[in-house]
Amino acid sequence: MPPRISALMDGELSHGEACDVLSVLPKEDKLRAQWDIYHLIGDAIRQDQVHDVDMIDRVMGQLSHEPVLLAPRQPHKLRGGSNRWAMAAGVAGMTLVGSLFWLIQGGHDNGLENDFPAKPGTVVAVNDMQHYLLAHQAFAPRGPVQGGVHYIRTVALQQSGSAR
Amino acid sequence: MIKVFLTAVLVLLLGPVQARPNDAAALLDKAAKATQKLNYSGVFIYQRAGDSETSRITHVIEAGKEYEHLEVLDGPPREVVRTSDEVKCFLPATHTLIIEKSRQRSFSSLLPVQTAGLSEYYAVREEKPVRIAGIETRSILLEPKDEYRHRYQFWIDPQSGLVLKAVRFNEHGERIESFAFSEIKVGGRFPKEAEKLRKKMPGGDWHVESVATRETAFDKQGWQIATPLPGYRLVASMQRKAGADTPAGQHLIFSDGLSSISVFIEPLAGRKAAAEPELHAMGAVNVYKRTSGAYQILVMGEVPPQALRRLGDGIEHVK
Repeated sequence: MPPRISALMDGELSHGEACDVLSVLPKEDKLRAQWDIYHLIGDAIRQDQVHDVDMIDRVMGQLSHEPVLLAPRQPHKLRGGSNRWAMAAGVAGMTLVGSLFWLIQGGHDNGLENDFPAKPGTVVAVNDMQHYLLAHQAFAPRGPVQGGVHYIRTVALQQSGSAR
Repeated sequence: MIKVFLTAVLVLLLGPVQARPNDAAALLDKAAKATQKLNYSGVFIYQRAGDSETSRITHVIEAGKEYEHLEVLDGPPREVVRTSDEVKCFLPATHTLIIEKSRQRSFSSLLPVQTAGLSEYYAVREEKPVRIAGIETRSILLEPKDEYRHRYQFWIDPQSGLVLKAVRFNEHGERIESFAFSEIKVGGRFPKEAEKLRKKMPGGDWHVESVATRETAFDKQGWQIATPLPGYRLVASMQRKAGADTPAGQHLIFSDGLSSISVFIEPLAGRKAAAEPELHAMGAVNVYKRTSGAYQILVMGEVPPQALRRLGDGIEHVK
């Protein structure tokens, strides 16, 4: 089962498979612990605010004091497996549900919205020009010159930008 | 007998003259393919406007997937890691990690390089061979036939096909930028490299910025290009989103096989509309920015400014 949890988190399961895993998850303490640890690892790697493995109690505690505030998504997409969602929500609380919506919808919705599970309080600061330059270098055809060499323009800018 | 003699003279005279341009094109083609197919690792010097920097580049193919690692060895240790669907750019000075993700287009199956049509827009000729990084290279010069591209010169290892030195010149014949390998190892195995790059993440407190991209058809987005540039084809059209709070924009790529131009069309979304179009240089890359209605149009590339201006001014919303 742990490999399937990992696959679920990576968005590699089909809608049906994901629902199966989610229906077992609340019933199995071991799996839940695995789920929490994977998320902790993910948060640590992404440098998000790191959560305790034992975060569920605190999240649930906070939930009871706060109005329900889900990520701004279209509500009609949540119809269907609502019982399973309810179960998952019971287990993991608001934060995890937010990311589950994202993982599962990712399979059948082409919108780019799903690549950004909205996290309340996260402000995405964008250093515009560096992004554009990286995107240009990443996608433009490379010609005869070794691909990776092109990126030097993206990072060479960083130095001159900070020097000036 | 005289006939045979004359034919022989003709072959001797015409043979090399005719063979050379084709030969140069074939070498460029080989170079374009070699960069994607070979394992290599080397140190190169990048020069621009009097500054120079040393970097290491490693390119590895493992299980059919490409991995690439660029590491600047001078100054702050900036790095770029490319795997099949992700480009990560580590900028330690600002503790920023930019992640560019591609949903459908794999970075490794990048557009086939169209070296075949190059001679229509560049005069291609071969220069004297030069020894670089211990290797006898062949040198190819590409002189643009109009004002919409720059002059390039490449020094290519005829054995491997890798470009060991490249220089781009502006319209006045001055060097804009160059890179040259000081040492390179071609072929061989880099056993742990791919895994190391897959897992690479910074330690400590970094700010992560994520950009996601997927392909879309450009003609359905309500925009048109009124003044296309000769020789530049639209080779990719993508929708991109640079953060949860940023509206999605479009990224178009035009290429003549050697020079490329990116066009970013994005809703202004609170950004200030520029009163006048702006043209400026970011290092070796030129940028042209203008506002059209509620949209910002940003055009960038390693091309002369007039190419950006002409393309950028002709982008119109038709809906």
